[in-house]
Amino acid sequence: MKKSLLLRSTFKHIGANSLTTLFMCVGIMIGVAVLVAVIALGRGTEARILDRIDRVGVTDSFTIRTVPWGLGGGGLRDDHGELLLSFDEVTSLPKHIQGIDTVLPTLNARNPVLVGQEKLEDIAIQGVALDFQQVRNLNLSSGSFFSEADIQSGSHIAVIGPALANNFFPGENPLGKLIQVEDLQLEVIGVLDTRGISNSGRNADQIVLVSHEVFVELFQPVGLSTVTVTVQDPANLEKLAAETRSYFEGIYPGEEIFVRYPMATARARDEVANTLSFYLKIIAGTSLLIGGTVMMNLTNLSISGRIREIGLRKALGARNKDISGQVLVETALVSIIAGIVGILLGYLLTNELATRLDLRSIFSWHAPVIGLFFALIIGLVFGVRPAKRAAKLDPVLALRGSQQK
Amino acid sequence: MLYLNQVEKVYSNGSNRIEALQEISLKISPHTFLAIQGKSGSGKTTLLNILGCLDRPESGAYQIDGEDTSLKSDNGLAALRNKKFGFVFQSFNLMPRFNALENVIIPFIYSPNPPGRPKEATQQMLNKVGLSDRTKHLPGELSGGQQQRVAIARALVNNPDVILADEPTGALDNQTSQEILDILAELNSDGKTVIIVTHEKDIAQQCPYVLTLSDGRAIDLKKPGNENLSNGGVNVL
Repeated sequence: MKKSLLLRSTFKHIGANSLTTLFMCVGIMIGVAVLVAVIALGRGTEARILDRIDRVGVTDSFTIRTVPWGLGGGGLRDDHGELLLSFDEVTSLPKHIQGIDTVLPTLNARNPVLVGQEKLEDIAIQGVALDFQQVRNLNLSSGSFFSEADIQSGSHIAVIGPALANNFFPGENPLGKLIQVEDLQLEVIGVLDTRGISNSGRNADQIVLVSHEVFVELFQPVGLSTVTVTVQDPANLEKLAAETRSYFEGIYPGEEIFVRYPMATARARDEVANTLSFYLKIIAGTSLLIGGTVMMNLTNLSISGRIREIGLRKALGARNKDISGQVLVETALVSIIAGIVGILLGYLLTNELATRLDLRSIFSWHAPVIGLFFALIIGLVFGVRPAKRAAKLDPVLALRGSQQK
Repeated sequence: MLYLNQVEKVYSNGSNRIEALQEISLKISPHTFLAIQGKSGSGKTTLLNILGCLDRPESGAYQIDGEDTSLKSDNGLAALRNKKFGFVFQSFNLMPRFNALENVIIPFIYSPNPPGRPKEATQQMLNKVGLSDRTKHLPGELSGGQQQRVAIARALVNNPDVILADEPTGALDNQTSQEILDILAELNSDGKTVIIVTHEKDIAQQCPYVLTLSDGRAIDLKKPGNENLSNGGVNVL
């Protein structure tokens, strides 16, 4: 009964001073909105890192290249002057460095692919080892990967990416169809699952995978520029990567070897998100602080305008704590309203940021709960001073509308 | 019974000392209808504020029904204001955004034991002051006399023993003033103690007891000719 009356009068007051209330809300609204965005984007980023590590599948492998990523690296005729590693050097790596499990030499080319008159330019052709599928954790949506027997028989076969399959054989079963690379007709025996955009920014689904043997027949490579190495114990990944790098740099003095870990890559790519989240947190904290201060001052101002009301309430029997309680209820209510609006704004902000910056966001109950919690805390913390001031007003003076003797 | 013994109140303003009340000793019995008159600055409002526990005396004692108010905490005084006293002000002091009913109901917010049906109790009080059909009106939609009647209903709603009115007719025309005074007289005949502060002689003259203050001292007390216990009593000690 008493509480409902108090709440009603609070709502009346807030409603009648909607402009003041709006100003009180702005800071907290922005703060909560940004907070919600931080949480949603933070969770999205975390999920994406895990997801990417899952997709890449290899937390126990690293890749070395003789040229930086995004540049050449085909292992073809060394007409770019690039350093090429020999098969022997690469395949003997486990003998030289303790802890290395398997070595997966990979040959790369970018070449046109034809089906009949249809031609797609600049398609990634990779010559890979038998266990490539397993090590890279690749799944096939249909067909199968090439086997030992396929390689023995020298069959001209290939596994293609789903985008390529769609381009050439829309609505058809690509298995058994022929694609042409250089002069060879290759039979499609498998289609990969969708992987999306790869770490180097290329479409990983526009790809043709062939065996080393077929690749050699196609392009006559003179050496290797890309090698994926798996290690026995993932804990030694960094150490072994460094050892491998200095091993090759020892063989080829003056040359630079580039190393990349899938996990590190995934992390690095989301550095953007981490940086963003860091600054968003600062913005959220600052605007909550400013919001709180603004609210405190406006509440003080509103109390100055209501001194007679406070005097009257005291004359009618309000105790000091009734007065301070009413002020706190008001600031808490205003900040809850601001919090709710802030949460809605936060969703919009998150979606906008996620779209513009290509980030993932995950909404869950955390964001609104934490947002409201912070709004309420700010309201209470910054309401305490005005509440105390209001409670301490002398009733006789307050009834006359003055604060001081 | 309200009992003031050698009550003094001093306001100091830098080096200036203003002695608002000096050596006031009074006994006010239940059912009294008392007017306090005096010139501006004579201390009459200060006396009313002390009587209503809005203010504390500087020295001297104030007892309410035998209880010493100096022993009470601020919360204790607030409870007394809520239960024992009803206040009426010159400028009505209504909440402008609350309708008549919502204004009258406010003392219940601070009451330790409000009635089960506060709205009905509130409506009854508004009926009593003749505003049964103005319940939903905002103060701005009411005349001055009607606003003061809402204020009286608010003062009555917790069923206090004492009504304290500071210049209750100060903002009203003669006819309305008379109506308000009649309501207060009626409350007194219902058994309430009514104490009003006024500077209007014709208002004061209608009250059975009239205390005159000057420079913070009680200089005169007019008593009715036929003083008997049923209409209370005031003594300057």
